[in-house]
Amino acid sequence: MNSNPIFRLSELPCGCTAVVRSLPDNADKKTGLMRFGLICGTDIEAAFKAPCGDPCAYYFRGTLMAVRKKDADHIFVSYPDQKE
Amino acid sequence: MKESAAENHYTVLLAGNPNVGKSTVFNALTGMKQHTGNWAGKTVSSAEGSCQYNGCEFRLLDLPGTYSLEASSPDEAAAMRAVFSDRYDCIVIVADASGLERNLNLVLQILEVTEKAVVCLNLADEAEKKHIIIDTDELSLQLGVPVIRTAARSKKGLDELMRCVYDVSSGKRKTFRIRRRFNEPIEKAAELLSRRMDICDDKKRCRALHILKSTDKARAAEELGFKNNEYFPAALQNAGLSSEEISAAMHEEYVRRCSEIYGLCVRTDSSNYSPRDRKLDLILTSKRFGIPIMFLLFALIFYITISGANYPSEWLAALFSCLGGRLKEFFEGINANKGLTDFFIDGIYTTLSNVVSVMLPPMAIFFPLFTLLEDLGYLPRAAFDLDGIFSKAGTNGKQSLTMMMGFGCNACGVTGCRIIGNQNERRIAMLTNNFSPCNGRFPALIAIITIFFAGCLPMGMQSAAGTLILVTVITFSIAVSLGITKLLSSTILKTGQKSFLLELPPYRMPQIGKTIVRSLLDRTVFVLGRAVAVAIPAGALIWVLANIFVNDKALIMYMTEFLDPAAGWIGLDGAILTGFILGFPANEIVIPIILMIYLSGGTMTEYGSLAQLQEILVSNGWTIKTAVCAMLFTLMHFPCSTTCITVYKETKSIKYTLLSFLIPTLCGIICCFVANAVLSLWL
Repeated sequence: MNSNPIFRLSELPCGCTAVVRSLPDNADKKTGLMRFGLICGTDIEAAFKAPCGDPCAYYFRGTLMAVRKKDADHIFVSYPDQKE
Repeated sequence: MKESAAENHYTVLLAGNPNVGKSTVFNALTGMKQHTGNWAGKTVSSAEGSCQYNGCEFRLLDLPGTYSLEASSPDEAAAMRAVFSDRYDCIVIVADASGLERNLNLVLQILEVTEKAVVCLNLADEAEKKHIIIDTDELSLQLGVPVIRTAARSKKGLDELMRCVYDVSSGKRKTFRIRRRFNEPIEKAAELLSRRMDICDDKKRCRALHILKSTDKARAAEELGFKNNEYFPAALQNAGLSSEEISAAMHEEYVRRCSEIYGLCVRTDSSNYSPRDRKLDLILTSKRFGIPIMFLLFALIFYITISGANYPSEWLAALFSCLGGRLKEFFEGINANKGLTDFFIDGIYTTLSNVVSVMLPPMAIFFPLFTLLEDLGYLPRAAFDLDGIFSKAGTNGKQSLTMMMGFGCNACGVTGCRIIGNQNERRIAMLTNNFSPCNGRFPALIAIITIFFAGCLPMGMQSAAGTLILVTVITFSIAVSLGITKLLSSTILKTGQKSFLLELPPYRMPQIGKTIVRSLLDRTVFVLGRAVAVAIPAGALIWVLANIFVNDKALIMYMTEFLDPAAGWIGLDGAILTGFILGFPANEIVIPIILMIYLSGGTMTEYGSLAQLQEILVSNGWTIKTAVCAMLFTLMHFPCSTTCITVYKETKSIKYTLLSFLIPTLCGIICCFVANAVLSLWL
């Protein structure tokens, strides 16, 4: 099991990859993300930000998806272990 | 599953995620013999076409691209209803071979409902370039249906696809519905739900699962045609799970299955996000260049549209007037009633030809260009760049795209609002779309700017000043649109806390020829048809008003005089207001009607040159104040009848149609009143 510290997806710097650890509690938001294949354990990379800093484009499961900061704030991630 | 009339006639649905080349497959199969039409009487139109294979006739229906069957947008609802209906012999599920994992979600959802399906792995050439190797035999085994690799753009694999479609439709090839079990509580809940359903066993499980997976279970049940759904809470309670837990668990299960199947069937050593796309994205969405590039691109499109539309418009107008002359001669030749001839030629025919010749060319230029940007994959980036601004107004960046479509045609802009998933956000986008001045209003705006503002400046500065004023006017309309958006989203149309996700698809070279034909068919012809339908009665009305005299005065003059005092309050005159009211069918005929009234003519009048227009307007009392108010009212007044009908068709609600009418009109009246009052102090 991963023991790296957990932080908000919105804090993931562009160009870095992390693993999803938890999704928002809100059912609509949660299923909205799951529809696109985002569940616990998914690898996600922060790709680039919009001109005004929000939203941010993330790359996961072969697709590039824009997520707003207020949504990314409720997704928690951690850096993968070296072994993973 | 079969309901076909004849043995060798089959109905085939095309389903798939957006951006997987579904339409390309459709066009390649049907040879573009499709026409757009509303299918199954629903608001969402899907293209329909036909093709022949092995002596059989196949009717193909192109469903809107969706990510899932959950009815969270009208497009998805349409796809869902189609898949759950029994009115097809086979579904072709088009998936992107280079992004298969995400695509598998929809594939699995559809295969839960039917085994009469063929999976089409499109963009196989692209996947190959990206070193993505797919074991189609294994995939076919996992899914229970045939899997065919295609590259629809280069027409590869299509014949094999049609062979499979034929085999599955005709029952020659047996396909399987693979029953994947969910965990015990979900299976139990599905079982409990199934028992209450009054349909054949075969259909129960997939419907029960569909309802359980939806977050809004009551609505999902209703969409599937179950009227009495009070038993769902009981079924859930017996299974010992909350409604939310069940949906989340099922969604998670689907993602796991996709991941599992993907892992079994696909080998790849590189990312689907190519270095080229990465570079392009970094430039097109960068702080420094993102917004300026977007601005330049759209300015270029408008420039090409406005300057390019003049010539075909003139040709069409000349053609129509020539034809009109002939028609008149013909009627005179057969000694038709003079009044009746005038009524048909000067009334109906003139209005009709006016609308067509002014409306058709800009739309035929604007929309193909817009569709090219769409096919390139640029438009989602524009929505991405602007999302920050729109999220502050309570909606999302996709509204910027519908606004831009509104600059081409508001009716198309309103239809385009389908891309917005959230219901209230979509309604807001429809209600505010009319603040984008469409192609029908641009010429009037430009004429007024040139005559009354830029025209006063020295020659060299005129076009620069004119452009600058036009940009200011557009900026103003965007600001009003955003303001009203904010107002609506925080009052009557509260936008929820649903998360906003926007896919940014890979960049692709568009297929120029097909794009043009398709967008002509999809948008231009569609709007033109509706405009023509209202131009005919409007032409008749205008002619009657202008040619029926009571006490030696045309009816239209009574109307003008009646409206004069009210118009005075908002800085206009009776003739201008009459022009706007009678121009309800199409904004293009507003100026011709105004000129008709000023010149006391019996038919609509086109102006020959700007100097001539200036002379008529100034001699009828136009000042800078009138010009400002006329411009404001052009920007903000009731949408044209075509747009109103479209709003009604899209919302199915009289309330929102009325609101879409009243909001811009009120804004226009208020702005004109204020502008008139303020300018009266100085002038």
